[in-house]
Amino acid sequence: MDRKKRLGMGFGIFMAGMLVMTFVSRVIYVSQMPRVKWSYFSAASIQNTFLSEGTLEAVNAQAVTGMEGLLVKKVCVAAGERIEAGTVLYEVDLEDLEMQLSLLEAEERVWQAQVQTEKKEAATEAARAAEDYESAAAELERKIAEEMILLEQAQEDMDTHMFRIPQEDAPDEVWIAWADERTRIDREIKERQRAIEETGQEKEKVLREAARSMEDARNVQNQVEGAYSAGFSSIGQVQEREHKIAVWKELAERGGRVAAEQEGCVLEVMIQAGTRMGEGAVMRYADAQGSLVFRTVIPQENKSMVHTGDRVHLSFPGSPEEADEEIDSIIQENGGYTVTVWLEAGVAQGRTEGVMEVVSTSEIYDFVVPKRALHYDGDMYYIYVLEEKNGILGTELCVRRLPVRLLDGNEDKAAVTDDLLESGMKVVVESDRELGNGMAVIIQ
Amino acid sequence: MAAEGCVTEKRIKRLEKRKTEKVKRRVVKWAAGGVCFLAAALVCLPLFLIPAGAVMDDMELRQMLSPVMDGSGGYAKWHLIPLYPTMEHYYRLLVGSPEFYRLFWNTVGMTAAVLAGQLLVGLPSAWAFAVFRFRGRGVLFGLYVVLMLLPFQVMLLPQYLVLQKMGLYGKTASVILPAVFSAFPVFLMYRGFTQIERDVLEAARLDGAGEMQVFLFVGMPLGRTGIQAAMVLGFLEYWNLVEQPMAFLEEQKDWPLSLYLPRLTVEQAGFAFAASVVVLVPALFVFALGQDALEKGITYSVSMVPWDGEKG
Amino acid sequence: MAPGFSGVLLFYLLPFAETVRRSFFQSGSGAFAGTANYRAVLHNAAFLRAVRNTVAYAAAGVPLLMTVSLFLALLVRGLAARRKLVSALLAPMAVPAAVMVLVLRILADEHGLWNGMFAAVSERITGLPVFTGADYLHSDLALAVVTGSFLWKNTGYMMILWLAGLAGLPKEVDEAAVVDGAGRWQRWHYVTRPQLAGSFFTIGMLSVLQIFKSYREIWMVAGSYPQENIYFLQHLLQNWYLKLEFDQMAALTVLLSATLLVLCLILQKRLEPDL
Repeated sequence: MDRKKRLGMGFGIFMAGMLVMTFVSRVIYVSQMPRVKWSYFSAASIQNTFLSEGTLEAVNAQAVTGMEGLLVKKVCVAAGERIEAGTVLYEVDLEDLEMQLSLLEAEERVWQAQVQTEKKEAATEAARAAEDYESAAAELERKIAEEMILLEQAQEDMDTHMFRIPQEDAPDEVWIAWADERTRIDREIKERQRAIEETGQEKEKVLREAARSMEDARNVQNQVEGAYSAGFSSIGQVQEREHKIAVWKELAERGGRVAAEQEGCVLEVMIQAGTRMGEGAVMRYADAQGSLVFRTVIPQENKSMVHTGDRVHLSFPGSPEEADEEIDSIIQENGGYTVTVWLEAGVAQGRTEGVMEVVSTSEIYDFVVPKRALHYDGDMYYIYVLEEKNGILGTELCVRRLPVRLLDGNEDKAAVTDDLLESGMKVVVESDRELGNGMAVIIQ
Repeated sequence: MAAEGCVTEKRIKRLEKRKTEKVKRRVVKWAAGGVCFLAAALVCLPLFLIPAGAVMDDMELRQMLSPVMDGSGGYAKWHLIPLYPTMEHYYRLLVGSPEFYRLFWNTVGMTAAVLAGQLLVGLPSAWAFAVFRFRGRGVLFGLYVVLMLLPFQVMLLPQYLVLQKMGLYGKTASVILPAVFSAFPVFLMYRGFTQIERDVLEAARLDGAGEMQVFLFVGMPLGRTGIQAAMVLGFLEYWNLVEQPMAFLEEQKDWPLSLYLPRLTVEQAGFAFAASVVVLVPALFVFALGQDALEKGITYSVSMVPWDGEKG
Repeated sequence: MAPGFSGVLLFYLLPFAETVRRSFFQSGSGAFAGTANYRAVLHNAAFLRAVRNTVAYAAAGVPLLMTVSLFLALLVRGLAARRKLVSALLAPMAVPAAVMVLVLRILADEHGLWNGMFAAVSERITGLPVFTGADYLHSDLALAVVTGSFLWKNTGYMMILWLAGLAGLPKEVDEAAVVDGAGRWQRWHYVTRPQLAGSFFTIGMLSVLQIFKSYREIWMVAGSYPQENIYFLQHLLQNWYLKLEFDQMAALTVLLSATLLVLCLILQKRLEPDL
């Protein structure tokens, strides 16, 4: 009996222990459950902001053309420096300049001499042609004059002959002789007239020929002036040399100092002291009155957020200035997109860098969740939705992991999509501990 | 002298004979004991796997059982004594698994309900069979015996039909109610009651006790062992109920433990062992408490031998 | 009495009557089907196999169980440690089916403990690692394993029954036989055995009951579609139930209960002489 009592006691204690542990384990279970908050999907658009740093450039940047071939003695300005009209930009080596100049002038002199000789020859040629023309013309004039005289005589003969018209009753022989005579004279008149005309034509022809040879002679002269001599092959170059000589002379007079023509801001200096200038610009500066253009390169993933015509906000580091402008162009360029924004005149003068802030508002998405509801495991995005599960412990709320595709997002919200999503789903937006698929949870 | 010697000799011979017989008997006894002990050891040995496995850590279990788990080469091994005893499985089971308790109390509730129902319903039936002679008693009793022998699967369809019609399908009652009316406890309790001498009942009646009083104050105490045996056997049966809940219960939350344990795989061996130990404990308690009654109670079911008939 | 019987009526007899009715009808159309359902069952290959297996299992399990338990009962009877040994042998009764199943899996797997032991022994004897074990539950040995576990679980139970039967025997007869100089074997054969005949039938019946109940463990360890040698009528019924094949199920239910009823009627006179 005693043994039975002890057994019964043991059994009772066991069952009591199980009862206590039931509550203990239940309490532990509940206390370990993640406490979550949830919300439905919202249909909303997503505002996205992103910043992109870029550069500012003057639209009408002035290029200072260098003095080709001259030695730079000193560069007087640096990029970013403000300049006034007349500010000395750089100096050239005077000695070098003068030497170069004398070389150039010598070249010019040689060329001039040659040109003179050529010209003289050509002039002689022209004079001869004119002479020829004049003699030929005189001969023909004389011939015409002779013929005129003959013509006048013939016409006089005709007049007299008409007075000598025979009597009515004059014999036929007389009449015949008279008529013959008239016909002869008539023919002579016509002959003379034709000779005069022909001679006139011949004279004109000679005149034309002479004019042509004179022209030729003049052409030769011109050619000589333009095309003669070593090192130069066109008139432009000759003029350039002459211009160069003039400029260099002027430069030499100013002591070799090159000054700015307008006020502005130096953008770039491409020369160094001690080097010889080459062709093209040696310096660029922005016009003080001109506007700037902002350029920035955005990566592929941000492309969808900007469109031509969108308004963007620009700020300029180190400057209190700000600007709202429209995007003027987006061009795809080696792996990125160059966005160009033209600023209004006078904005951000003297700045070389800017920051673009783009706020883009998307279309309305059906499934928008708070950003913290979206999880990422390094491979795919997923969310947790609440659902009821019938398990051993009865109906419990638990979370189910749903893989989703991310359509759009910013720091607060994310738009997702998937075939399995339904608008009535309860999305877990907050949890006080890490969730796992199938975990039972408590609503906070 | 000779006669005396003869007598002494005889006595000595008899003594010797008795001695050899005694030795012989002892040898036989030892042999029998040896065989029985061997059989008992053979029967109990597998049971020692369970408490030992429950305190082995996962590493050790996996190391020993990996051939069974994943079919890799070699054979499973077993350490009779755990290398690194740990309580982690017990801890996980008893502290970290509220599900286990849910199912545990489901089982407790189901078993208790069935046993209570059987007492309530089966006791009067058994008493009636044992004490009263009424028409059709033989046929009815035969019916009970047949019902007792019918495997559950044979009654599966009929019971499904009636449970469906009553709207009980899927509810815990669908397991409890048919079990309450099962025939086996009636049979066992009836056997217990038949052990009571008829004279005792008659004496009670003569003393003016009503039938109810006779049942309560004479029948119940005297038939106690039979009742206890029925309860112990019933407990072991319903503590392990598998087919009925599987056929009639749909929701996991209503399940008994016996449906949950087989779902633990060899991979979760440690946890399964720990759970098994905890499931085993109440069964062992009930078994130890009721062993005497069980032995006697089962005995009654055999004591229907012909020469025992005058008692019935 | 009345509530007990009304419950039996409600949960067993009436639904059974309904099942009998159903077994003659088609569940879909409700049309009278005659014996079509029965013929369908009797020509079902799975049914024939299940019958064969069930009969084989019962024919192997019941006599084995009875013999082993009787043998142990006879041995244990006179021992001082009787109580403890009986407790030990009864212990498997308390073991939940799920636990038994887990242990059996570890033991009987192709790479399980049994094969491990056999392999070790055979290697010790032959010096060669030649042993290749069977996956007991998925080979022809399945029935043997199932029968073994049936014995393991029920030997204690039946032993108690036998002990009870033996205890009920009048001691005088046995003692008289001892005085007459009968040997152990003679005493068993001529005295004890005939007297045990009554217990024999009860224990046989309870063994059959237990063998039906052992389906639980078989199902748990091998599932709904086990190795073909251990596919029993219960498997068949359960699978039909899950597949909602109620027509055939009704017919089979009626067939099986009728068979059991007939068996009981035959045995009843011997079981219950007083009824």
